[in-house]
Amino acid sequence: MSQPRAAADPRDPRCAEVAEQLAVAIDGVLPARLDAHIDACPLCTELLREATLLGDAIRDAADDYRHASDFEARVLAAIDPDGVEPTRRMRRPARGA
Amino acid sequence: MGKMRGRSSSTVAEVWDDLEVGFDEEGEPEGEDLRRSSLAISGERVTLRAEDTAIGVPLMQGDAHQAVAVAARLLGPSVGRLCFLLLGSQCEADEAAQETFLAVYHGASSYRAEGSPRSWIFGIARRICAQRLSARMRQSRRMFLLDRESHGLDASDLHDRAEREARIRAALDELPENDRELLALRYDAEQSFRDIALALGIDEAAARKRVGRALIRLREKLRAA
Repeated sequence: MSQPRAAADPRDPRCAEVAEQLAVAIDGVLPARLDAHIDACPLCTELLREATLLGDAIRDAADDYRHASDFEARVLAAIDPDGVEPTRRMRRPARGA
Repeated sequence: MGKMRGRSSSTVAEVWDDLEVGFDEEGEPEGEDLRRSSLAISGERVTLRAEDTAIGVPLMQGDAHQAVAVAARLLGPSVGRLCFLLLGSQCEADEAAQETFLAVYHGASSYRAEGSPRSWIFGIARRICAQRLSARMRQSRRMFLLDRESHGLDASDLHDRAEREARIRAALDELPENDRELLALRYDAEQSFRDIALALGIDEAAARKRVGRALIRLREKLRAA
């Protein structure tokens, strides 16, 4: 898979490092020197701002999913269609068996 | 039956070892299998949620029916959302979520506590979605190919929630499947990098880098739309 093109300045290795650590940067746990670089670099600031926005947007994008109120009942009915639990207890096999 | 306790940060093994374990019909401690299994755990620190313990106790005690009942109740919506992001269809997400918990039931004895029950179940859902995706043409994946005439990614473009969600889903659909999985696991299912690494069979640093690269690719898709 091709490497994504970071929007920040490709000539500055610190920009490349921010892009490489982008997921960590969103969590706010970058090394102080990279935090300082982001503060001074508008391109990295914009990259981080948009990436943070995207993280939230991905979560929101699933909000149209409507979970069925009878989901659990349907799962259990599929496991046990006659209302009888066939194998209530499934013993774990011995490790290495 | 084990007593349910939530832990914010502990090892899987510590949580299992702390459980109060009952006795089976033969009078033998039910925790024996549970403790034996916990010895194989690496001991790395992981985040366990209360739901992990609630699912993990019956799972480790071999009570697949109870484990699935609890898991379907506690994780059903989250698994459904993950399937929705991966498949893009309400109907298919619903089917895949149900299929996931049936697979949990039939595969309960294979759980090895190498990660949290939540991660294990998300991994099953991910595989089921991957199987479904590979079985159909990419063009038929989505119900949500809506208007994508807006340009670039800008906060002002994203004021309309419905439009933003549709654009994000469309852009996610254009990403490689691995990227979509990474982003859904991290930002919707809220999986730790460690759990993502376990699920993908890579190390944690690689998981962090891949999530970041997937974000950049998603950003580029949105800018190009």
